[in-house]
Amino acid sequence: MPANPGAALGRRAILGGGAALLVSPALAASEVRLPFANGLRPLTKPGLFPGKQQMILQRVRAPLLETPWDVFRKHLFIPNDQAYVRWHIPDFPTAIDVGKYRLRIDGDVAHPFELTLDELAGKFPAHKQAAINQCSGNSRGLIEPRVAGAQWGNGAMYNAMWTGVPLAALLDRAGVKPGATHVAFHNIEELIEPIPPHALFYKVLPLARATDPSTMVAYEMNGANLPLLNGFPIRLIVPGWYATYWVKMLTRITVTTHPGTGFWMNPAYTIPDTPNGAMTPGQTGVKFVPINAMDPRSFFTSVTNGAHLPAHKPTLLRGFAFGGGSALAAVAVSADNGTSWKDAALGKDWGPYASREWSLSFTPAKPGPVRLLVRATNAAGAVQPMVAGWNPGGFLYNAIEHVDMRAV
Amino acid sequence: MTQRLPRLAIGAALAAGALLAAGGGAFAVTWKSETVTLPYPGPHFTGHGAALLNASCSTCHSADFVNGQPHLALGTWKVEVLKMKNVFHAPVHAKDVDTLARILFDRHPAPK
Ligand code: HEC
Repeated sequence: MPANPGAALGRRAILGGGAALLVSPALAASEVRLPFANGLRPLTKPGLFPGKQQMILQRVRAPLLETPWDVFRKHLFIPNDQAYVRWHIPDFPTAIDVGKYRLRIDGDVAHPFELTLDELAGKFPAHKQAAINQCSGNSRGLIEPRVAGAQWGNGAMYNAMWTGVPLAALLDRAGVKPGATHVAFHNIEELIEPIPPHALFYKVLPLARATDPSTMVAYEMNGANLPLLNGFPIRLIVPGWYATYWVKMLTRITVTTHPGTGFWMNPAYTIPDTPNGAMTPGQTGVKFVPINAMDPRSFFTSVTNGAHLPAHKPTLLRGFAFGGGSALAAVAVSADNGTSWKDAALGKDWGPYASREWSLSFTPAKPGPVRLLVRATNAAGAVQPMVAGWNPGGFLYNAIEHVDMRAV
Repeated sequence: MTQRLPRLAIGAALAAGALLAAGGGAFAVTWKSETVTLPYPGPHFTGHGAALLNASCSTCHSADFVNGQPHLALGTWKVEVLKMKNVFHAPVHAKDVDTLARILFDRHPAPK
């Protein structure tokens, strides 16, 4: 069981020397140590990346920016300028002309059509929905044995309020032909040399998931335009499913009869077709399927590793949790390494796919070390495991988090 | 003929708190064209094997990403190098695959 990475974030300014910066001082002002080996990362200067405040710098090109844990301690809805960023290839435009931008709906439909941004927002009913966007590889750095890929701590996720058009309304207007089974989502990216065409980014959803009322084309995030790095001007949102499907800078929606042959559907972003997506390293004969619904997760925000709590006195513990593919059902805290659990009170319900606050009063029985665990259960009955399942992509991490403190 | 999609369960979803009508109908969005600057190209490789790494591994991603990878088995590094070459067409010569894997392995020692 890993330490709560948020709690373990030890920040140190390096003005005046000391630690060696991983990148030039023009990019970073300080560093943060994520709680795994080789976890030292620069913190960006605010504004270094457009529309972004200080972020954990995982990669300059193509940008991989992680949200510092402090932000989750302050906000249930993550401010747009602190939401994590994940691009695969540096082949997306740095200029978007909103007058020329088009969204096309085609493929196995009766009436293919194209929309300007004004038409998208003006001709279809707008809906608002809270949902958490989480990278398939969030927390990959915590997985043992370690695997290659973006070495995220817990900050590759953000809960936001989305405004947009339900995808079903667009597909309804196009008229989906009988026999269609899937919907492919293309974006504005154009490959750079020497990457071959099979590696062009696009994602495919089963038709039933595409037409679920929660799936939508979003043009606002927390009441403002999306930051360019989060997919301006429009992105797909697939609440409850991992962010790999939340295609940024969406330009084309194609109804099809097959699940797609692109690299980013298979073999990339696939998980073992086993309970919890778990297998053992080196295991052969495992069937892999495209990653899909998220698992439940829960976190502490009011306490961090090393904190002191008053013994014999109540402390109000707080945090947030989400259910993943189904609504959050319960959050419980354990003070005895998981032998017994106490249900936390849940805060305002922002909808089945959003983050939700939890709180629980806790009184240490005696002075000394205190280890607290937090665990979420979703409506479908999925419960966070003590140890995350292992898979070679480092996906689906959702082990129970803990904090180590002292009662004094 | 077209497929009948499941009706948008707006009412039911509303009751469940999933969707909140945002005024209904047309929505006033302020669209403004954007031009941004990114701090590219980002860091290059320095130190052990830097010349070969920069020649083979810098086209598509900056070096900070590779430097931040964990300790991996030599064979795993070789699989990564071959993946970059075969899937993404990284400019890696067949004769350099083992050398690159060895360099990457040496640059990512096991944690103490
Ligand atoms: C032609 C483009 C290209 C070149 C050159 C390239 N890579 Fe990659 N690399 C990619 C892409 C695309 C990804 C996946 C995108 C992502 O994860 O952001 C990737 C991902 C990775 C990863 C993460 C694990 C994975 O497999 O996704 C590692 C490690 C890596 N590259 C190392 C290297 C090394 C070492 C070299 C030099 C031998 C190299 N790359 C050269 C395109 C390239």
